[in-house]
Amino acid sequence: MKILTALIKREYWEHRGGMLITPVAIAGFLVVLAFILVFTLDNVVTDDNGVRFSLISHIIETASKLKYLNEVQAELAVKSMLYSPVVFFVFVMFIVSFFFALGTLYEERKDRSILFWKSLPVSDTMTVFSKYLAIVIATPIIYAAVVICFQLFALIMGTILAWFGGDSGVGFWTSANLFAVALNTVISILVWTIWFSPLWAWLMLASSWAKRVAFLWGTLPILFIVVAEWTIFNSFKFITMVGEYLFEGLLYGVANMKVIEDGGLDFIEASSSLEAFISLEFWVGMIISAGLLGSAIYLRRFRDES
Amino acid sequence: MSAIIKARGLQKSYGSFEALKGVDFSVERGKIVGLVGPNGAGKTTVLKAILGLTSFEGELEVLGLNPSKQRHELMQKVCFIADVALLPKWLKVKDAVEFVTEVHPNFNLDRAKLFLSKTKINWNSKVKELSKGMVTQLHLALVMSIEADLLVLDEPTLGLDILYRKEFYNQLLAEFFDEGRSILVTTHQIEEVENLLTDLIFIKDGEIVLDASMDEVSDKYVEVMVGREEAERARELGPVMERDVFGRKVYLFEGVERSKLAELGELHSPSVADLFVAKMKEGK
Repeated sequence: MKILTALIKREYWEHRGGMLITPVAIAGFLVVLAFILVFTLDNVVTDDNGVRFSLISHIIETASKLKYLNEVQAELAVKSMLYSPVVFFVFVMFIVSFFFALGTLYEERKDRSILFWKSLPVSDTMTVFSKYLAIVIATPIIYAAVVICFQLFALIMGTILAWFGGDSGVGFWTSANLFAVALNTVISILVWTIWFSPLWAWLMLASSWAKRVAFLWGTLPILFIVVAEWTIFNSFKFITMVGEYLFEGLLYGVANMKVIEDGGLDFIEASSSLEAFISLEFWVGMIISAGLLGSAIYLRRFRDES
Repeated sequence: MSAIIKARGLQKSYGSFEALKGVDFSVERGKIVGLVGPNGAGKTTVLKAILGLTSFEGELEVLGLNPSKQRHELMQKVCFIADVALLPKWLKVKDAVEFVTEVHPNFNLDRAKLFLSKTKINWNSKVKELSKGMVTQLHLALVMSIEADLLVLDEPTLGLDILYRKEFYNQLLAEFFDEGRSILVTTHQIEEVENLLTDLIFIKDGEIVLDASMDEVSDKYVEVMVGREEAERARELGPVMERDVFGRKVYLFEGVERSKLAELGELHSPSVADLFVAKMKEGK
């Protein structure tokens, strides 16, 4: 356990940019953007009829109107406000994780540090597993933590705006179960990244295989399968299957974020993201991931490059 | 004395190229063995086989373990520096020390601190901010602080300036080495290590051409410096090598009685470098 922790910390040192600085920068950017909107967008927006009106007073008006909504509407409004930025973070995290997985077993060979790592009593299995955990557990938890901080900021900002409108802003804090929102944010992001394991594992295998241009090894074989299947069978079953699998993961990921019971996202069958873990597809995905990671471990252990 | 490394019929091919042609050798505990050979002779292959980094045929036992099957256990007791290994650029010095402390049960943190305090390496620097020599110093400090039974050094002083190289070998003897441990070292700078070594292995074209202790070497190989007038007599005794020094001739003899040679001129022990050149030219 101590070794695994040290290894994950090692991944963090290497990927601090993508794992911590990027989400913090996004949050910072959104905060600055919010302030710019609040403090500078006075009298600059034109409505549909060509009449200029003050956006800031409009926002304040909206914020202070929260108390006039009924319980269900208020909960919907607050949850929408808190959950909507998550998508933005998750999208960036996807890109970060994509290149993390693609580079992780390739960079150590390219910068020739692999023999240093291999001179320490850490098995290849442990090393590869730690990299996988860094992608599916450590990164999403850090992102979720930053998102929660941002949600807190949004609540404070909403409250202050409500004050300007003469309202107490208490509705922002009482309309929804904020602890549940925070917990759901963590679970949703985690479920999503774990569900995507076959993708990360595939990229890691490409990473350990590639002698150069890991990106092409990560993408071209999939393209090749698609083209081959289309040429031979005139069908797109493989890519459809992959797409459906990944889409299902996204649905499970957002299942927690259903803004309200039976609300807008009722096409999701699951009522909780955690139900992902009892679906057959999830376990098939995990078995495929294990196979891909096993191959990556084998390559790292036995490939003799010289 | 127990053997730390036992190799019997160690063989390795890369395609049709035979890198190792079934070599036998052993390394005893408490020895410092120099593995010397020209580029492409199979040195690196031997080291990689010992460290479980490559597959091989034949028998090989390191500390009683099979390097290719029990690599993980082996790495607890063996430490190495490969000539091509570098530390990653993003790693901070203090993080590198912390990482090794956490993953290696036999890492001696105090010793690492002592080694690093003798260098100009800043604890908070990243590897990319260090000079090439400093990166090597850091790497050596980490590896030498591991309480290992066997230390394998592949061209350890590559990129170090001469001042630190001397220092490194002094530290190696003073701080790391004791009779419970062995060191296997390859280097092109033979002169630097020859006073350190207890044993010598020469490897050429995948075969071992010399495997002896330094005492045996100095018993068996003798250099005689003779005037030109004695050259013919010296040649009759079958020297393995001849070279010119300041208008005189130096002959290297293998296994010729000292008393005979003493008649010709002054006797010396050959340097490892000269012996190496002689051995490599043999049969050509």
